[in-house]
Amino acid sequence: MNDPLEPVNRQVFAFNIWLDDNAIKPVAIAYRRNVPEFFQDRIRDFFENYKSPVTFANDVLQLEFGRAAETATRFFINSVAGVGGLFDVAGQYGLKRHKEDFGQTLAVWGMPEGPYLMLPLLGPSNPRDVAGMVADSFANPWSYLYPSSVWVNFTYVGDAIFWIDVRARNIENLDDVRKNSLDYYAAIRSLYRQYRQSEILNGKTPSTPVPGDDE
Amino acid sequence: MPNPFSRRVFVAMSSAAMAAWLLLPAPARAAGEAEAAKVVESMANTVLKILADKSASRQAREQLFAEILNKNFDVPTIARFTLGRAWNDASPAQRDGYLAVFRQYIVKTYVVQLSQYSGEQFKVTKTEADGEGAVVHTMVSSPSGGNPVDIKWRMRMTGGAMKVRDVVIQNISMSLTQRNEFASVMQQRNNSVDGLIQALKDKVAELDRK
Repeated sequence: MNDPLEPVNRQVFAFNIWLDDNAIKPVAIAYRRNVPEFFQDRIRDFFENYKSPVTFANDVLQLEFGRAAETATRFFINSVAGVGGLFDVAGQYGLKRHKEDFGQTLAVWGMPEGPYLMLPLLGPSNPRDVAGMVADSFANPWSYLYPSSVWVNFTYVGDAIFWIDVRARNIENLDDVRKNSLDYYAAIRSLYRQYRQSEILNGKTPSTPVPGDDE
Repeated sequence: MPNPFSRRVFVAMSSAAMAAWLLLPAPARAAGEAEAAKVVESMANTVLKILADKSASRQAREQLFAEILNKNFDVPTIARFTLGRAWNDASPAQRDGYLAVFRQYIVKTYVVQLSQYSGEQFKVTKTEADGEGAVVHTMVSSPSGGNPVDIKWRMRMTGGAMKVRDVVIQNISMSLTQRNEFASVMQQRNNSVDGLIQALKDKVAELDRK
């Protein structure tokens, strides 16, 4: 495990749990309880569509032109027929959503992930994904279309809503990991690495050892 | 220029080898794959039946899950894998103690995880060769909608039957996650297997109280 900053990371993790227990999760629970499922889905579809130019750019940077065309087609269909992205019309016709970010692009280009990092509020990461996150924030074309003050406010509010929606969809999953794990920090570290590896491989199963095969 | 005779021999030999590879292992492989799919399917149906019976007590459920686990999972091999290199240094008593508490822990966590399910649809979508065994691809979809969950079962022939060695949920290997986690637990406790055994016992007791 490449985690030389583990003592600091564990402290940040404890802070994140505290923040989640006292602010984020209660808001996510309230959101799920009070916002009808129909609107939750519209919120998710809207933001996924809105953020998809970033996926498109990274499809191209990874020379995945078929997937880039898919992302572009989805964007046009959903923006027009899906009323500005509120409905994932393309998905209903079998054109499934996929996500790319610059962290994945850097991985495809051969950059190693580097040491594990636990970021305050943002959660598990590594230097490669931090670099990706920064690059992606500049890559969003919408930021160049609006005056910066409008843009900044919209980004913060929009991101907050988007992440509350994501958190609300994972309440039971995270509760289970926490309840069942002996070491929540180590479990999340392993899960994050495997999850990113699977994303980098575009959903293919990363090759992991099968118990007993090495004997 | 290579000698044409030796080349012919080479071609003949490699064709024979190819034919042997293509013909001989294939039926055996296919039979293994079919059996793997059958094992997963019957296991899933049993689990869904247990879950559907809402009147069953938790003890009764745990008993049934333990039976399914012992029958269909290669628990000793999984346990050895999740302990990593520490297995080699462990004494026979430590290995036995670990294996016993690992079994309990797995059953409890599965019961906790599965108890929130109801009315799920389970479907085998594909079976393929996987190293020396097979991998069975399944999809579990919930009646309330949402994205179906992709679960792969990696199986190996063990003692004359196909048994599960790893469950891969949405591309995340459960065996590997546990191995990583257990390594960290041991590291936090002076690299001691006894420390891990104690942590597992505490967790089992904690899950019992809930």
